[in-house]
Order: sequence, then structure tokens, then C-alpha cells
Amino acid sequence: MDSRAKQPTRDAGVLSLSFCTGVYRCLLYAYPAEFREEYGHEMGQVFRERCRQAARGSESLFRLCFETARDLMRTAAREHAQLIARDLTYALRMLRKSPSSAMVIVLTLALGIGATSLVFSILNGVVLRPLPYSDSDRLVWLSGTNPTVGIADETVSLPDYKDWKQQSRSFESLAACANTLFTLTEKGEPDQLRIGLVDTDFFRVLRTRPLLGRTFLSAEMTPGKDRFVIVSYGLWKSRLGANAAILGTSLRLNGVLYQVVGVMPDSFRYPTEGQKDAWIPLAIAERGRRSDFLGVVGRLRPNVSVEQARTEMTGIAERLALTYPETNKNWRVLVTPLQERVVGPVRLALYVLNAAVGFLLLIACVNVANVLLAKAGVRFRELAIRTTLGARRRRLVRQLLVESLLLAVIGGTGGILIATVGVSALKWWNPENIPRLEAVTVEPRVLWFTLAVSVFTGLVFGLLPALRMTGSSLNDLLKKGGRGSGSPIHSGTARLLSAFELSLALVLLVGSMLLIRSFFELRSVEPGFRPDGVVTARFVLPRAQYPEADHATTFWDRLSSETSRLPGVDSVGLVTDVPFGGGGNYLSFEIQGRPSAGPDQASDAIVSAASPGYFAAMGIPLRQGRLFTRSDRKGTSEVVVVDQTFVDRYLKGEQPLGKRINTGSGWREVVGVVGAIKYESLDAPAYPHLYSPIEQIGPRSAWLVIRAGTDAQALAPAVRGIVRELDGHLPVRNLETMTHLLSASLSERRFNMLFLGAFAGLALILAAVGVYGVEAYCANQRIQELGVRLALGASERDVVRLVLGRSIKTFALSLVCGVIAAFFLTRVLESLLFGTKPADPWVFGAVVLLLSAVGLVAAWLPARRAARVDPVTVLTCE
Amino acid sequence: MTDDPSLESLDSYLPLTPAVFHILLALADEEKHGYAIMMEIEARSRGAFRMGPGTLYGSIKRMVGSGLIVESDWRPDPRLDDERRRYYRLTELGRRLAVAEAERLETLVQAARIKRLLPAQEAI
Repeated sequence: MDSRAKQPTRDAGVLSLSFCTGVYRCLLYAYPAEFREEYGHEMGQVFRERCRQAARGSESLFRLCFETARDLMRTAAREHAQLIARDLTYALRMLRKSPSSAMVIVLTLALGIGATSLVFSILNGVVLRPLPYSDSDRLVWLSGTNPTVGIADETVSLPDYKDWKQQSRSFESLAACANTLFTLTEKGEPDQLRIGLVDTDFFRVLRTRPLLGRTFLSAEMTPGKDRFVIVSYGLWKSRLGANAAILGTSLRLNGVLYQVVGVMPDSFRYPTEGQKDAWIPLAIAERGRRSDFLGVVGRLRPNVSVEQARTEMTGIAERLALTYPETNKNWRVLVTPLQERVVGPVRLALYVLNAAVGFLLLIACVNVANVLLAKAGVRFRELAIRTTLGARRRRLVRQLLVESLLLAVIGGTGGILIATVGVSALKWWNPENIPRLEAVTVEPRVLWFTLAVSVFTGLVFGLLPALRMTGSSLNDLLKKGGRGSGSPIHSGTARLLSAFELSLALVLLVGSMLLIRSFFELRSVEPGFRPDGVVTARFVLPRAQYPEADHATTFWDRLSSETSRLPGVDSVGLVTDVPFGGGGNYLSFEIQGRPSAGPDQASDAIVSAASPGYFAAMGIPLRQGRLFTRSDRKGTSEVVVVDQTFVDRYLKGEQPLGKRINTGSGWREVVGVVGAIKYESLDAPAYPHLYSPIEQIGPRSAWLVIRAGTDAQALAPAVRGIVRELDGHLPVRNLETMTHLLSASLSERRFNMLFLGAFAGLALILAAVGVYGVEAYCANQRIQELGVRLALGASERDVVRLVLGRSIKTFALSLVCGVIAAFFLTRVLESLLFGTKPADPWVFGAVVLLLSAVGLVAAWLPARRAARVDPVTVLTCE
Repeated sequence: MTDDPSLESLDSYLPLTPAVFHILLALADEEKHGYAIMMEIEARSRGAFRMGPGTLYGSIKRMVGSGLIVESDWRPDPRLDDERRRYYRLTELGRRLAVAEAERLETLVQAARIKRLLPAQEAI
């Protein structure tokens, strides 16, 4: 009875014993293969013995298993670490033996990885990183759109904004903001401040608390009670002495005292384009429903999607259209995630650059793989001997992978250096139109990315040569006569790799050539005026000092006459909005004798006020009638000059002179037609433009336009001197040459072009070096065959032709593949192009020619060298 | 002086890790296989020093590599033991090293006695 009871217990013991030893034998695979093969069997035996002992009750089986598992993990890691240390020491010795090829590999990788990390840093900082507000994914931008009249994205009027705010339920809160310029006086030199007009909820929506003080109160949103200002960290630091006692003191802005109530932190960024120096309450009187000037930012309630908010806002827009058909018919609301609004314009370009740099990295990897393959001829002998002496293939592959990983990590470190220098250089260059550039840093995420890229490249370029090199033994080597060049690495593999490289380079070159062509097409677009030799400066006259239009007119009059007396100045003009100066005044108008345009028709134009000298100073030609004269003053008959685009769009086939137009300030007679000009960008078609005489309008803000035969920039001190004499409190900002303004409008395209161009250039160099290396290697492999041919009477030319023949076939294949790939891939560039198409035959033709020439030269050099060998020397080597 | 240069630089091996010294001690009197080494160490330390198979064979591998022990050709009667078990014995270097380590420890123990950290040794 007793023995029967013990039987099941013993069975269970045997079962758990064999289970434990079975698991242990599996876990032994954690050790390096060499160690396992040497000691694994005995370790299993020892463990089984101990288990038996434990089963006899000498100790707890559980404790034994736990201790053994801990021991296994610790010692397996140690064995691996020792192996890697040994491999690394060996790898370092190998690198020291051939420093030049190691240098080539490290440099190639550093360039590839550095460029990749740099572009990824930009992409990460500009596009991927969330905006610097808490829960920024719930922030949206709201704007108006009217597809019927072709208005895609428009600011919002105050009454519409108030209705949205009152009727919507999707948002925790909505806030409005607008931009303006104020003059700061009394704190050092007068300066023009970029001011954000914001309502009470603005900082709450963005969830940003001031560094000092408070934000605005509702009571401060009333005209007359709005003399409060919150300053930016930058202004506080630079102009206000970074003193906490600034709170409660006053700043004189546009001649009026504003009490400082808060200082925003350094990290605070304005949600829309451009930074602000200070914020004041948005306290403005009611205006019309189509007086659009507000930007609206909203914070979605938790669990409300952008889609739900869109649906709700569409409903509200429809209701407003029914209630106010005159102004709101066909107007809809655009709800865009704020992140998309900020980075949307550059996202595509940055993704394209990222893809391009990925190609470059692949080319770099292929090149490195080719260098390693070429080295394989030498290493093959060593490895074959080691294999014959008993080294395992796995061990040799591991050894070779450690070597390539070491190279990759050194290259990666160089890459991080290149990326860091690149980011600093980019910030120094500071291309305009790239939002959030300040957020671009080589941060840990980028470092992880670089590490991953380095390890990946190390594996990619190391694995193929490693597998190739270790697949044979001394036997194979001896069969091939023991020649270093007789490795089993097929020249086909190397050729295939170089063909792949050429195809990649072709795609990159086509892409960059398309952008370069677009850039130059755009540069050659006639802006409609002559920018050379023109200097502009913007002035904003404070209402407190210039309460009446006459005061302003007098100032403008004196400014232009004083400036025109400066030596070297040909002509001087004034205009309210200079082309490419950032923004214009778009107004709707009526033409006498025609029914007023309904909400279904767009009839607006850019409306500027210009002085008589403006057209000459800017170089805008007169087409018909006359320009303004000094007699077009206040009190004389009110006149207007229109541009050719205006005539073509609104007065087609009619005599424009004598027509009467009203933009809301009374009827004006058209007295002249001037040439059309590009206004905001060179790639957009010209927009209708109306000019009124500046003296009949009396604006408080205008641009001085000077055409000078001398060096335009040299005028700056003289202009500053004149302004100081006329009004000591007036700052002079935006003193720019017109060519600079034009060039700044192309800065985003220039950025894309330069980056993609640089990558394509690098790709071309790498591909040329790669092709040369492979061809040299292949020619060397055939050197004895070629020697025999030469000895048998083949001419040098025959040999060159023989060697080149195969290369040409490879080139043709790679070019065809590259052209097909480029044909499809360049389509994503379509929206970045101007004046050309993704499948531009000229660009494709030029790139194919260039690559063919580069490839042929790179292949011809080694072929010629091979053809000049001395057959006797080669054959005696045998 | 010996011809073997490795014997001249015994100091560079010292101090030994506990695992290595224990293994050298276990092999001082006779040749043993891994399991026997492990058992002896455990018995000698009254269970205080327990070695897993990984530590044991990792140490053996390094000691063979450094020439402190070698695999012995001696095998017991196959009926008494598994023939696939390998036996190890001390080399001359291993033995000298074990002595050097023991002397080093003895000096330390004596210092501890002088400082009365340990009771004075009774005369035999």
C-alpha cells in the first residue's frame, strides 16, 4: 500500500526533473555557439545531477532552478561580451592594417548618415514635434472659405467670429487675434514693434501662463479701456532690462501710454506666422461682416474630433448665410488642426527631402558594400585559411559584421557631428518661410534614429560581403591557384550593386534638376517692375502725433522731397503696400453703371495708395492715360490708376479711361492704366490692382521706395538721418533692397533646391566613385585573361572595348530602371514645380546624358589601365 | 628561475576571483570533473559558496585558456562514470598560483590576528 502511494510521487518527480533539464538544455542556446558546443553537454549533465540531488530532498528544486537561471543569464551575457570584445580588438587591428579603405568607408558613411540625421532633425523639429502648447493636438485654426468666388482661406470678420463663439459647442473656447505694427518710443531708440491684438481667451486657449503678471481681463476689451500690454520675453530682455519691476509701468506705443501687465515666457510662440514683440487687447468697434482681418484659434473639447467640429461649423455657416445672405452667402468655415496650419506648407518638401536623403544613404551603403567586396579579394585568403583551420562560418560572419558595425558606428559618430554642424549652419542661414526653425535640434530622438541608421547600414553593407567571403574553404582557394583576385565573389554582384547605385543617383538628379529648373524658371518671371537699384523702408505714423490725414500727408511730402535730394537718387515714391512686402489690402469695389457684384462673384482688387513718383521709382510702365501728378491732392477731383490685369479682368474690351470706380471711399475716375505686377509671389498669376493718389487718402503707414543709381544699401544712413530730422521718435525698420524682398519670397524654393541639389551632387560623386571601384575590381579580376589576349596579339583598343562592353550593358540597364523609377517618383514633386512638369524630357535627357558620361569615364579609366598591362608580367605571376 | 616566463609574473594574476581559487583548491589533491568540483566547493564552504554551471564552466574555460588547468587524459572505469565527462587537473602554473593566493590570504589573516580582529592562533 505504502509503495503504491509513493509511485505517483516518484513519477511526478521524474517528470519535473526531465522537464527542468529539457528547459535548461534549450536555454543553453543563450550562450555563444562555441561555448555551448564545448561545454553545453557537461553543463546539462551537471544540472541534471543537481536536480536529482534536489529531488532527493537535499534542497528546493525551485531555488535551484531560480539560481541556475540567474547564473545562466549572467554568464551568457559575459561570454557574449568577451567574444564581442575580442572581435572588436581584432576589427581595430584589421582597420589599422588598411587605414585608407577604412577612411573612405567612414567618410562615405559619415556623409550619408550626417545628411540623413540633419534632414530628419529638420523634419522632426518642424513637422513631427508637437506645437509648444499643452494638448496641442486639440488646437485648431478657423478661417473662412468661399469656393464659389475662389477664396480658399480668408481671415474672419468680428461679427462672424462673435457668432461662431456664441453658437459653437465643439470648443472649450475660441480666441481671435490680429497683427499690427506699433511704434515704441521713450525706451532707447524708437522701434517698430510687431503687435498681436488678442482677445481675453487667447492665452487660455493656448494654455500658456505669463512668466510675470497676468493676461488680459474681459473689461479690457472695450475701446478706450484697452491701454494694457503684455510683452514678449525677447522685448523684456532686450529693451526693458529684464526687470520684474516692469509690471505696472507704462510703455509709449504709437504715442499713447500702455500699462505693462504681463511678460510671456521665452518658450511662448505665436500660433501664426512670425513672432510678436507684444500683445494688446483686441478692442475694436464693430465692423462689417466682410471686413475680414481676424485669425481664430480654438481648443476642441476633449473627445470632440476635428470632423465633428467641422460638421458643427458648417451648420453655423449655413445658418449665418440664411440670416445674412448679402454678406455670408456661400461662405463656409475651414477647421484645420493648428499643427497642419503651421507646418502644412513645408511638409511635402521636407518629406521629399527625407526620401531623397534616404536614397543618398542607400547609395552610401552600396558604395561601402562595394569597397568591402573589393577588399574581400584580400581577406578571402585569410578567411579561407581560418575556415580550413576549423573556424566556423558563423563565427567568421560575426567577426566581419562586428568590423562593419564598428565602421558604421564610427561613421555614425561623424554623422552626428555633421548633423550638429549642419543644424547650427541652418539656423545661422535662417531661411525665411521655414516655420519653427528654432525647434530644430539634434535631440535624443534624432540620436536614436542615427544609431538605428548606423546599425542598419552596418548590417546592410556588411552582411552581403560577409556571407560571400565566408562561403568557401582553402580548397577553393587552392583550386583557383591561390590568387588574391580569385575570390568567389562574382563580379556580377558588384556590378548589380553599382547599377542600383546609378539608378538611385538618376532619380535624385532628376528630382533636383526639376527643382533647379523650376527655381530658374521662377527667377526669370518678370515681376512687372524693375527691382534692381530699389531700396524700400516702411514707416508707421502713430495716431497720437499724426491725428489728421493732413499731418501724415505733410510728413510723406517732406520725406519724399528730402530723400529725392540725396546724391545718386533717381526717383522716390511712396506706396501703402510694396510688392513682396508681406500682405496687401484686398477690397471689393463697384464700377459705375454696372450692377454691384453679388456674393456669387468675386470683384476685388489690391487697393494701394501711391505717390506720383512711385511708378517711376518702382519701374512700373504706364500703358494708357496718365500717372498721378502733384495736383492730384485732397479737394481736387478724385482719381484712380488701374493696372493691366484689372483692365483684362473687369474692363475687357472697354475703354478704361474715364470709368468711375468706388472702393468704399467715394467714386474715383480712372485716369491711367499701368503695367501688371506680381504682388505676393512670383508663381501666382498677377492680381488686379487699383492705385489711388496718396495725398487724397492720407494713410498713416507707407513704404518709401527709392531708386538710386548708386549702391542702394549705402543710402541707409542718409535715409535714417532724414527721418531723425523729420521725427525723432520714428523708427526705420524693413530697410531692404527690393531684390532682397523678391529673393526672400523664393527662400523656401531655394532651400529645397539647395538641399536636394547638394544630395544629388553627393549622390553623383558617390556613384562615380562606386562605379570606378567596381570596374577597377572587375578589370583586375580578368587581368590574366586580358594578359593572354594581349599576348596573343589583341590590341589595346580591343581590350578596352572588351572591358567596356559589359559595363555599357550594365549602365544601360541601370539608366532604364532609373528613368522608370524617376518617372513615377517625381510625380510627388508636382506641386513644388513651376514652369516644368515631373516628366520633363529635357531634364530626363540631360540627366541620362550626364550619368552616361560620368559612368563611361569611370569605367574607361580602369579599362585603359587594364589594357596597358605588360602581358609578360601578368603571365609570369601565374 | 624557471624557463616558463608565465611563472615569473604570478603577481599579475593575483588576487584570484573566489570561483577560480575554489576551483584550484578543489583540484589540488586529485583530478576531478566539473560536477565533483562543484560538489566539493559547496561542501567545503558548507553551502555558502554555490556555483551555477555557467559560472563553473565559464571559469574552467578561462582557466584552461590561461594555462592554470588542463583537461586530463585520465578516465575512471566507464562502469563507474560517464565516459564523456571531462576531468581536469592543475598545471604547474595553476599550482603555484594557488599557493601564491593562499600565502597572500594567510598574510592578510595574520594581519587580522595582530589587529585582534581574529583570536590569536593557539600553539599546536
